[in-house]
Formats: sequence, C-alpha cells, structure tokens
Amino acid sequence: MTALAIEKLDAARHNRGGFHCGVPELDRFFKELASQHQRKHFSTTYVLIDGDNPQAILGYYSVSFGSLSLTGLSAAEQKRLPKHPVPAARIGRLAVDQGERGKGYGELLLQNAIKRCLAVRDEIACYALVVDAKDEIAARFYEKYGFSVCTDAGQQWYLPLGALD
Amino acid sequence: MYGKIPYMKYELPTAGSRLELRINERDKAYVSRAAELQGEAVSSFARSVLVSEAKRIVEAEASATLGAAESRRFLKALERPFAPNAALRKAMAKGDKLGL
Repeated sequence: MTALAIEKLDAARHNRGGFHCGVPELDRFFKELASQHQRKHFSTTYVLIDGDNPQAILGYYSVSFGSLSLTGLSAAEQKRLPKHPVPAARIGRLAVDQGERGKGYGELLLQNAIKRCLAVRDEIACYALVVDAKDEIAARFYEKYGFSVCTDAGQQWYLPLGALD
Repeated sequence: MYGKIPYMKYELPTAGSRLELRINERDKAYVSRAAELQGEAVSSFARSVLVSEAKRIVEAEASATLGAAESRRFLKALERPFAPNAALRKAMAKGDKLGL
C-alpha cells in the first residue's frame, strides 16, 4: 500500500470535481462549498489522499467550532461545567468516495478528526466532538466509535473528549 | 465619537435594508395564502419566516443540545480523561501506524 496522507483542502492541488460519495448533498458541498467555507472560516476541510496520486480525493471531512448546550442540570451541576454552552468541535460532513469504500477510510478520517481536536485542546477549549449523521448508516458508524445521540429524536451525535489535562 | 457609532447602529430601524427576490406566481400565491392564514401582511410574514429559518440553519450548524439524561452523562465524562472505546482505540492505533 502506498502512503496515505490527510491534508488541508487546497483548491489548486486537489481535484474536487472527481469526488463522488453517492450522497448528492455531500458531493455538492465538497465540489462547490468546501473551499468557499474554508476561505470564510466557516469550516476547514481535510482530505484523505494517496501520496502517489495526490489529486484524487479518497475522502474528506469538514470541521468547525461550535457548542453543546446541556439541559436539565441542577444549579450545583451547572457549576461543575467549565463553561456553558460547552465549547465543542463539530464535524459537519464526512464522506468517502464510492469507489474507495470498504477500505476503512471513514474510520481513518474520523480518528484523524478526533486527534486533531485532542491536539488543539491546550489552546482552544474543546470538550466534545459533535457530528451530524445524515442517515441510519452514518448513525451506526458513529455509534460504533462511542458517540452517543444528543437527543432521542435527533440526528446529532457527540463524543465527550473528557477532562482537559 | 468613541462609543457613539456602535450605539447608533442599534438605533437603526430593524427593517432598514432591502432584500429583493423573484418568485413564481404559484409560490407567491402560496406565500400570500399562508400570510393571510396567519393574519399577517405578506412582507412581514416573509420576513419573519425567512429570518427564523436562517437562524435555525445557522444555529443548527454551530450548536447541539443534549437531553437531561445525556447532559448528566456528559458531565461525568467531563470529569475523567478521554476514554475512547475499543473500536476507536483500534482505529486511532491504525491511524498512528499510518502516520494519520
């Protein structure tokens, strides 16, 4: 296997047009919005590439900062929070090219996003990673890696990142 | 000067800026009907629906809410170090090996 790499999206270097994950919304975001969102600092997109063919995108995720609101806590419990709403990172989108499925690229992208969050925690407070699961398959994917559903009816899942060191 | 300009900004009327858009006859009829059902003028109805939908999109993009039971679980998780489950530990180890 050749060397895989995860890089920040670079419109000049990466071929966004060749990416198809099969979900129109995720394809459209990647082709039309990802680099615009990056320029405007809405979100940053990271791409998984093969070092031998760096233009071809195997998968991507976009990440931004957001927050997690808690409900139903007593005043004493509220006080134990570092801050409310709780600062959290957010994976808005994560997708793998449909020709590249079954190779574990989704989990490589996810674990990279988690490590990225853990790495910046000294500088940017971040206590959870929140994701949107677009369908049942995505929900099961996040559940497998320890994410919990935010509210019973919702499609948002979160992973607590634990105490700051 | 200092302090006055930002102050003035908040004094501006809320509907001071124009937004124009084209809409087909059928959609317009629907919008008018809905506004009428709510007893509102079309423009104020359109404004409130548009702004509340825009707020919903922006907020959904940035924030999530936990239910009461989940909030309590999260609070506990905040008090101990990050504890990835077995599947995630395995994925992270695989990533380490690949330098990702």
